[in-house]
Amino acid sequence: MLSREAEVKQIEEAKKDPSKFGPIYEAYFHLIAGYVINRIHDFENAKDLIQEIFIKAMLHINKYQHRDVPFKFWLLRIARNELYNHVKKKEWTRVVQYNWDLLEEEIELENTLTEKQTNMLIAVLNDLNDADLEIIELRYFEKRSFAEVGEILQITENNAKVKTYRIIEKIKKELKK
Amino acid sequence: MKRIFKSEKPSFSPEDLKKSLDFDAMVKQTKTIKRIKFRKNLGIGGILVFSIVMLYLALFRNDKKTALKTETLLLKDEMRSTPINVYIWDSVKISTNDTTRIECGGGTYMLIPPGAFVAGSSDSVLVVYQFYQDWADILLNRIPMRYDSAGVRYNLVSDGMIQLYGFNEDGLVEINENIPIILTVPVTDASRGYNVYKLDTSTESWTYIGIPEVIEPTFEYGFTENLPEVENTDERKADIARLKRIKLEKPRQKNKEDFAFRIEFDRKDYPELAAYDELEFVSSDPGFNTDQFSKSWTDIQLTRKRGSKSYFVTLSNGIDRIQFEAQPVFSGNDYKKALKEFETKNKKLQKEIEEKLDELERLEAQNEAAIRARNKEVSRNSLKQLTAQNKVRRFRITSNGYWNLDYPIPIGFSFAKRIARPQYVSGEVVIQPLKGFLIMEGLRTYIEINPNNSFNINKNGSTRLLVMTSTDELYAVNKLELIPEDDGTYIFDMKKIEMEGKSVHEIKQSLGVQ
Repeated sequence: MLSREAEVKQIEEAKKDPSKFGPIYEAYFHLIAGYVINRIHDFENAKDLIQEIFIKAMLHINKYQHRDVPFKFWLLRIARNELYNHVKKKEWTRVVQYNWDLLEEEIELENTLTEKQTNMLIAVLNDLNDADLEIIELRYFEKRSFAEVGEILQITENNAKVKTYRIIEKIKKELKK
Repeated sequence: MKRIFKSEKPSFSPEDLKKSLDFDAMVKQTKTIKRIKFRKNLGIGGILVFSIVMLYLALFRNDKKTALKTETLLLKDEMRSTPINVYIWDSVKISTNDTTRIECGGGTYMLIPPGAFVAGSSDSVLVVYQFYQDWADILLNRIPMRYDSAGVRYNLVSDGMIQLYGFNEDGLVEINENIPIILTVPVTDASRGYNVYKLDTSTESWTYIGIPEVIEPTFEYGFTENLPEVENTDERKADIARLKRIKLEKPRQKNKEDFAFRIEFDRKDYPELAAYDELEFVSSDPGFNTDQFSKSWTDIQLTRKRGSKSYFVTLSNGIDRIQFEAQPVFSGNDYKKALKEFETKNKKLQKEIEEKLDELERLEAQNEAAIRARNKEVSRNSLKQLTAQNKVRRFRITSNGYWNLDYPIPIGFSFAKRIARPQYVSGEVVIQPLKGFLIMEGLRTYIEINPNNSFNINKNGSTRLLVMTSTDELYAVNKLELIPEDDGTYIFDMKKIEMEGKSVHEIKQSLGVQ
């Protein structure tokens, strides 16, 4: 990883010349690739998407201001926008890669999910709108902090918390039906 | 959107993806996209518009060199012979019906009122602009800085220059003179008498437009003295967390297998149990043993277990004393009654949480808006501070093109001496200065080289000089070491600054410009 100082310097250089983006690409490739492959399981599509994300970042790096948002979240926001654009336009299949550990705890399930309960939970999650599902995905499947969820979705940490609790309540209610 | 839920990870890893991607190809593609970006921004008819723009600029620059450098769209033509990378233009698509504020950096901003562009039926205009923030930008972009007034020639300085054009699908759109764009610029020195000039691109000279308005600290921009409040939501959150911790226990129905027993208690002391006629208790406490019921007990006590629906039952007979935990169980109508009560209470609790969450969400949204407004206010306040120091100037932009804010300096300072002339090697001119930029005792001025290839400079001052030659070469000298000539003039050595293949930023760095 780049130190904060080195990162600032590198970003300023990349603003003037895209070929100077190399060290930033190296530093953040895994972050972006990780975000993408949690959502796109087709190799070629994932590759195209990552390429588009970095090209977009190089094209718009001039607009990046250090005081606004940490660079990794700026990149993740681009990744998120590109993901939704591509999935929508190209009709790609969007994967939700789940991991129940944290969610089980949050919705207060006493035991590990049975197959039937898993299917029910998937059905409930599938009924959520994209925005709500994304919050569940970021918070419980990718185990990100509320602050991170907020940065990615461009909302405050507190708002991320409130929204999350609302969705959890919704899920619990649906599961009880 | 098609969704699939999977617990398995994909068969490939980030490393696999990285191996198959070529970063250099991405950089190349980025450069290509930058070339076509402007066309893309224009949307439908973009290519046509692009051609119009190119033609317009070629005519408007009155220059035979119309070939554009691919990665520097809209670049001024006089830069063509030097392959340097200049800035990509900033562009913002604005609605013609709204007021748009565009920040240009360093506190400078444009206010574009509705109807500022004569855009016909278009409801949007693409505003393409560059704000020149320092002298190197102006010099490297070869912007002429000549100013003639009543036969007297001056060099202009600049404390803020903008080049701006509006486009819609039909091409360049004019600015409505009656609804001008307002440019607000913080300047470096409040004591200077600033002027506004517009570049006449056909003669490459500047025309005096007028005096900019000094923004007095009246804060007519709507500075809010009372910043919007951000309400502390901690207590509300704690309250919601407290409510969420409340776990109402569902009443337990008596099973056939249960070893249930009745306890006589004063119903007044236990109002939560008073309504149930057939109430019994069961215990799963390890300390509980059904054999204990074969003994005789003289005293039975029931006490609530804090934070739960359980009770402690204490039995004593003067010799023995036992205590175990027990829970009420309901049967028949009692169960129905208890269940209904539980559901009502639970619904009430959920409703309360829901209402508090609604209120919290509303407050959070209100707080976010307040934080945004506060941040905006902070940025305005820094401008306000400059305004209070009379450092902010404002002027109207009534047409497309270059607008400059500053004042002219006569060619030939009274205290300066002629010191420069072309340099020759084997009888051939190797440096023929054409335009220059001089930093001299805190003054910054552009040098128009005199026809006899000399210019005026204070040889005793702390001087820094940059010269752009007639052959598009850049020379610089940081400290003038003047060499006297027999004819009373001076010469000095200048260092050539390599520009080929470099960005403006790199050139500025090599010149020590931040």
